[in-house]
Parts: sequence; structure tokens; C-alpha cells
Amino acid sequence: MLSGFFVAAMNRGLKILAAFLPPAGAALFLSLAFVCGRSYAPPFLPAGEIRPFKDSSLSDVLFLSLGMRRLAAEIWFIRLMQYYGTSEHPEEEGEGRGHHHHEADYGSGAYPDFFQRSRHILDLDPYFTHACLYSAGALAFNLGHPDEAVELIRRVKGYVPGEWKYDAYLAAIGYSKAKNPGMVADILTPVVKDPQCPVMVKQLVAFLNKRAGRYREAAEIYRDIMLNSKDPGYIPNARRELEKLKLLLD
Amino acid sequence: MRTRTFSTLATLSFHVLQEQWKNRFFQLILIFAGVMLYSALLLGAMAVEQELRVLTDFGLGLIELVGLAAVIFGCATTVLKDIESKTIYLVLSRPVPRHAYLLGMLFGLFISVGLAMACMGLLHSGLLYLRGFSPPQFYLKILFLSWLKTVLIGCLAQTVSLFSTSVLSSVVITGIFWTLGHFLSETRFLLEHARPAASVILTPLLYAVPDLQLYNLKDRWDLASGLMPGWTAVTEYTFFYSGACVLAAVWLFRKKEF
Repeated sequence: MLSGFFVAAMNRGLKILAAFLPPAGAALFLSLAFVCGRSYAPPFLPAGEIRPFKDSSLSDVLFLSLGMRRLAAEIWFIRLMQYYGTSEHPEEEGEGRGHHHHEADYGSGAYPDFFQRSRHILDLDPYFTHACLYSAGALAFNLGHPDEAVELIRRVKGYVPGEWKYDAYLAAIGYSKAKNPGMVADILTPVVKDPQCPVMVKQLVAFLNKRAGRYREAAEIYRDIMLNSKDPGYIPNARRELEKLKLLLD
Repeated sequence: MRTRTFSTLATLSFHVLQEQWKNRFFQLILIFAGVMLYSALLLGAMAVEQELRVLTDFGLGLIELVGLAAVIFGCATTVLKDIESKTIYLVLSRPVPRHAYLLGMLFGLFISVGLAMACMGLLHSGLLYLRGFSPPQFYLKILFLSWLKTVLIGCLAQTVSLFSTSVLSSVVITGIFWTLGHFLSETRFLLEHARPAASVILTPLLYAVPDLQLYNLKDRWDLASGLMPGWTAVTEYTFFYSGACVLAAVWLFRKKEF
């Protein structure tokens, strides 16, 4: 009688245990998963520290929540290029529309949002070297805001401390402040040979070399732009300049 | 007995795989992915010097999103469809354990999503080659991690679908988990600086929400390897988290009355 009671109680106990085994196992597994994953932190600026540009917050949250941080930065970079590529004086727009590559002004203007847009891109993806080189180059050498360019580079350098191109940029900005275009060109020459170098910076260095009377070096860079540039906006100018330089070299 | 369970699992998985491929929604997704990948070319052209980068990231992001949509929709509807069409009675009236039915369905779904993602990956790589580029060094690894991410979210979607009241609510709940899963490091930061009362609410969230940043190699494939999580961490995390979801789903399915 007593043993029957014990067997029934044991069976009941086993049934209860079997019923609660899966949820208990699930809880244990969740805790183990938590322990495995907690040590990893993504190597980016936390979402809360990204400074929005105008109404960018909504699109930023959307992209970040989909796990597409890089793509968000790229789309904002395309927008930056379109912003900088659109003339501030539309009535003056003529040949080469869409890109600033005229030798006389090469990208000068006010472009008041340029710095904020660039900072936003680099907040999203501080490893986007091309965007940093493009933005800092335009700010320092075309738009006359070297301090903002330095600020951008300093922010990004914390993430990529070994990036020599940023050091070269900082040195070149220093010389450009001291009104020494020859030294700026010298320092930026290795940067120009790097595949990450924006064509806008290549054009700038070519122009500085030409102004410093170093026609052979300038011609070499223009030839590189003409043959390898993916941006068709810069090619006619490079061809034109190359023809002029050929006459000077001959 | 064990061999029979495995053969049942395989049969059920194959059945779900066939069903998924026949499903019009699934085919629509693939067509949509093809069209969108093609439109990535336009975006790539706008990026001028960064065409490869944009084309790669856009394509990889899209493949993952399509995989996610397919897996969430599949998990939310397959059991429901079987209940509505009464197929579930045919299956469960045979000597098929409920957990085998559930696991077979999940395996079939994950295989079909994996195949779909592989097809899209091929299409994407083809487009890259067509534009004169080659896919990045870790392309297969990125794609595999994206698939693991969809597996994880699929297990979660299955659990959610078993207690939610409709397809829509389970899709929405899983979508919320997906979103939160990309902000887990921010949630941890909040927890460290939160008041004790708030941490009571936030702590369970930290356990329940999957850490999807672990799988997000597509956001950092060109970084130094030291900045990426190791394979061991990713494998263990996937095993434990999806295991927890599957156990919870088995428990819920066992209690379900048809």
C-alpha cells in the first residue's frame, strides 16, 4: 500500500520534472548564451553618441537597427558628394557640372553644411578612410577650414591609429596654413599613389605641383587621373591640363 | 528508434523544403532580391570611386533582409498552415513525436533559406564580376554569418509564433527583437548607468534579446581581425541561444491543443 503510494508519487514527480525540463533548460541555455556574448562590444561609436545631421536621426535608427551601419555611412557619403558637386551658384554651372574640378577655384565656396555632414558620416563609420580623406581634403585645401579638417582626422585617428595617410594630411594641413604649397604637394604625393586616395585630392596635388613649377610630377598625376579615374567628371580637365603641360615640357 | 527519429526528421525537413520552394511568396522574394540587386548597380554608379564598397554592402544587406523576411514569414505561417489544412493531424496521428515535427520543420526552413541566400549570393557575386570587381575576401564567411543570424532569429520566431495570437503579431514581435538585437551594447551601457528599479526591467531584456552584432561581419569585414568576435564565441552563442528558443518552442508545442 505504502510502496504503491511512493511509486505513484515518484511517477508524478518525474512527470512534473519532465514537464518543466524544457523551460528550465531554455533558461539555462539563455544564461549561457548571455555569458558567451557579453564580452563582445562592436568597435564603433555607440548609437547615442552619433551626432545627427538635420533630420538624419530616423534614417540612422532604421539603418542601425537593420545592422547596416556601413551602408548608412555610404549613402550619406553619396549625399555629401552630391551636395559638394552641386554649384552654389547654379547660373555659373557649365561644363563639368556635378563636380568641382575647375582649376581656378577647385571646389571653393561656402558649403556651410559640409563639416556637419562629414562628421555625421564618420560618426557612423569611423573606418571609412576614403570619406575622411575626401572630407578633410575638401575642408582643408578647398574650403579654407583647416581646423575642421584637423578635428575630423583627430576623431577618426583614435579608431585607426596606424593610418599613415592621416598623419600625412595633418602635416600637409600644417604647411598649407604656413602658405607653403610646394611642401603640401610633397607631403601628399605618397597619399596620391594610394588606391584609397580620392580623385579630388589627386587633382589638388597635381595643381599644386603645377603651380610650384614641377610640371613632370603634375603631368604624371593628371595622366593617372585620365587613365584610372572612375569619376568621368574629372577626366576632361585632366586631359586639357595634360595637353597644356606637354607644351610646357616640350 | 533513434534512426527512425532521424529519418522522420529528414522526411519532414525535405517536405518543408519542397513546400517553401513551391511557395509563391518565396519565389517573389527571390525575384525582388534580383531586381533590388540590379538596382544596387545604380547606387554603385552614384558612389563613383566607392562603387565596390557600396555594391558589396548593399547586396549583402539585402540578402540578409530577404533571408530574414523569408525565415520569419516561414516560421510564423508553417505550423499555422498545417493546422488550417489539417495536415498536422495526419502527421501527428502517426508515430511522429511533436518535437520531431517541430525540428523537422525548422531544419527544412533553414535549409531552404540557406539555399535562397546562396542563390542570391551567387547572383550578387556575378553582378560584382560583371562590374569588374571581385567579392571581398570574407564573402562566404559574411554570408554564412548572415545565415546563422537568420537561423537564430528563425528559432526565436518559431517560439514567438507558438504563443502569439496571429501571424502579424508574431512577425511584429520578432521584428522588434531583431531591431533590439542590434542595440545590445547600448542596452548594456544603459544598464550599467541605470537606477536599480530600471535595471530590474532591463536585465531580463539583456538575456532575452539576441546579440545580433556578433554576426554582423558585413559591417566590419575590412577591419583588423582583432576587432571581430572569434568563431568559438559565435558558435557557442548560436548553439545556446537557438537551443534555448527550440527548447521553449518544444515546451509550448507540447502543451498546444489542436
